[in-house]
Amino acid sequence: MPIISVTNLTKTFRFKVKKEGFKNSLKSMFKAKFKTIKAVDAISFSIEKGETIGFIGPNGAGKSTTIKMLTGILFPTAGRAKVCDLTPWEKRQKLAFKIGTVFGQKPQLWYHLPAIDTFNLFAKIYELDMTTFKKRLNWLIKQFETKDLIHTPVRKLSLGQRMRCEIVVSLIHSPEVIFLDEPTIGLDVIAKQQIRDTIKHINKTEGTTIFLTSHDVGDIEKLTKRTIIINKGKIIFDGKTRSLRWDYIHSKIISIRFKDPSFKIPPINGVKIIKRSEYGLKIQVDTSKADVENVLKRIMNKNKIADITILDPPLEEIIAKIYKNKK
Amino acid sequence: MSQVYTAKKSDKFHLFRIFEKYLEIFKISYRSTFAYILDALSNTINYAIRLLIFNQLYIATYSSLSVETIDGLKRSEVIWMLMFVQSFHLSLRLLIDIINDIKSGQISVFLNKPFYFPLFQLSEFLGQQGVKCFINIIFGSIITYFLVGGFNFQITSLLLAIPLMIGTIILAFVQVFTFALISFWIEDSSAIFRIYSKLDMVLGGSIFPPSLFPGILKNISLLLPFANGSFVVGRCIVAFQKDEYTKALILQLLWITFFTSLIGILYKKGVKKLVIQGG
Repeated sequence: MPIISVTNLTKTFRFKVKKEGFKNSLKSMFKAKFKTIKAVDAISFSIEKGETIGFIGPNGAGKSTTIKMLTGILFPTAGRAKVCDLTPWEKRQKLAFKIGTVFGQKPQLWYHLPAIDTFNLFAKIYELDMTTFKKRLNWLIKQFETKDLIHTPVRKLSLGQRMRCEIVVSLIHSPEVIFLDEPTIGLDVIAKQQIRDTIKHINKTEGTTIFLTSHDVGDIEKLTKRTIIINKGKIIFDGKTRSLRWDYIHSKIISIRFKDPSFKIPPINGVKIIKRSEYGLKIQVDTSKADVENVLKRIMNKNKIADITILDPPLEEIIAKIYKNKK
Repeated sequence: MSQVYTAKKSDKFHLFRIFEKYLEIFKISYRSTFAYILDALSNTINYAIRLLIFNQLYIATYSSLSVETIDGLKRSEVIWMLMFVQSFHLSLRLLIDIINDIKSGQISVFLNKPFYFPLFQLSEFLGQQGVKCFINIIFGSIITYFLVGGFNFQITSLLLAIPLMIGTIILAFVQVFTFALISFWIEDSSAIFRIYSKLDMVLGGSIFPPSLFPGILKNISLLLPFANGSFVVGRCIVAFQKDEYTKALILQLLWITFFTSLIGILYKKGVKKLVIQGG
């Protein structure tokens, strides 16, 4: 039985439209015009317990709105959803005991107090037994290496340290599902890595279902096994994160280092030069038009090669293509 | 290690656990307010200036009328009463904070927690306001003592005023929170509240005790929620009268019930209308 199931979930927002100028502002006071936007357009999917899902899409695609409906914050316009066998917007408080949320841009720690105060508050809010809470907290502190941070006022912590404490607080009640909305936003490489490793660890050791949205493809690649891509409120991809590469790669990037600076490249159909330097060349091969082996053979026939690297295009590029519906 | 404590309604400690969570919110709120004790103390300078102005105003009023008492109150008693009224003076801070939470979507971190949002806000407000009132009363008493000397202080009156003090803070909260909830429908409800708070200033006894108003205005204003807040606390401590006290307790309770019912309706409808866009 899926831990999250969504059927035709839809959310529309209605906005007042105002034209520029004083006259139009005055007009809109008496005869207002409204515009309706479908933020989420009849999406359906289901997630099994213990899965790690990357829920991605460009700005305004409907990611956060979906998360907010699944956590009971927003009421949908139409459709159904069950999270941990509960309808989120009907049983919001009951569901709160079973899920954890981290909104990267909306902190839940008390800013002027040390994080330990918020941890203790959450223990009471989630009606935890104090012995269980203390054991759990010690374990989380160890996992997230936050022992030295929890007694410092939150305002004095770095963004990365704060985010680690945010995740600790959201896991304090051992949720079955954790919704992470851009948890690595604004973090440096090391902080990101630390957070990714620990979330992965929580998923492995506790079987917590991870529902992650991020603009950072690294988060998706390193953390999730399945990716759902949403654009303009509709799901445009739902499959294995790994298969994103296989299904959508129609080109290869080849970097070549030559022994001779006067190297020559014959014109080949489907090959585009990306960068050229004294000894180096970077080309993109459209694999639907040219065969990588043949391209390399033709270049090697005319030049002496020092080194070759063949790479897939970055995942960002693949996702951007999917966003633009250019499969 | 994954042990989830599942709250059960059959649990005999369930109600106690619910009480405990709001108590903890109250405690963290006053700790957070104490974290900026210097800020709270700096407000007392503003407070001291207001008391000085009132004192000058009432020196002029009593001398121009050439009377010892007005409505049975000496000048020193009026100033003491105003001190208590001013101690409960509310800033627009709570209202603006809630409006911002609703508009920015920060409310989302409260809505997906296992507590009732209005009760969370009340507990937080009691924590903040309790500390501020306490500081105000302590400093206000010192300043007023130096300005006008003491008054016929009775410890019984102070003890009897405690339920009124709690009622005053709760009544202030339910009024402010009602206006904050209007933000679910309109862009900025603080403008409407500003008009309301001016009425509160005039009819609530912040400048002039409503008991000194003429005829019908006095009778009407004493029934309104404005005069049944901090004014009745001041009146109870400075010039206790049993009839007034009982009437104030009943009226406070009625107004709290009225605004609480309004909150219940507005919150239930408003939360369905919530619009949060973006992360």
